[in-house]
Amino acid sequence: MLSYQIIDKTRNFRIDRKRGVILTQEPLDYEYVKEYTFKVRVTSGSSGATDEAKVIIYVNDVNDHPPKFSDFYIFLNIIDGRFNPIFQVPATDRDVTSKLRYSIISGNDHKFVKFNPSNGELRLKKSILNNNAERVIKFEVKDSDFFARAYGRISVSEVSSEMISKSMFIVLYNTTRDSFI
Amino acid sequence: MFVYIDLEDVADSNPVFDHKIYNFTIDENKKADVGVVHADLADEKFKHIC
Repeated sequence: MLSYQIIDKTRNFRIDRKRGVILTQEPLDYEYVKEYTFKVRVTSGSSGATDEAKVIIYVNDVNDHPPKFSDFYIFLNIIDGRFNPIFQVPATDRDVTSKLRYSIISGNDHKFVKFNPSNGELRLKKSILNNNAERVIKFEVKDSDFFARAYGRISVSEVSSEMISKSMFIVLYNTTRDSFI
Repeated sequence: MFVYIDLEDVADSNPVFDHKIYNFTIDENKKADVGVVHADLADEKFKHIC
């Protein structure tokens, strides 16, 4: 009669002593641990002799988290006409193997924004300066199963080096920028 | 004169795993069987071979 046991301490797995079946004790999280390694031992009931083997368990990533995406603001100062505005839509996904796809739902009627749907890169066109300086654009981010939507508020101001040198830096405690203004 | 010696197998050998390393894969967030490890007594293996 042979008896199986896990030698190393693991709270994630147990083994059926008679059949050698390894079972999970609790659901595994790929984002936390991707691979487990431990040793198992088999013991002969008659002679007490043993053998050992190594077990490696690879955890597959499953899409179990929606993209994380919330409203964001871009305040852009164009200094002395230098215009090189490239931004990244700030969406993340805990599923590290998930590929995000980005799209604009509304707010880009005048094509102020050039947008890359595969990486969320956002390029502002210079024409945004000739129109309303603040735009609100609704974005959507999708992985293979979930999606999230959020608003991006883009505010552009033209300033000069002189304006910056004569400006002051104010830190607001316990108040918002809008209420201060 | 012939002498017949009959050897009787006894369970005196070590158990031996089928593999030294077992690789298994499981999806996250699943509570399930991962896989099976298996060993035989070397005596039994000898018997199977003969």
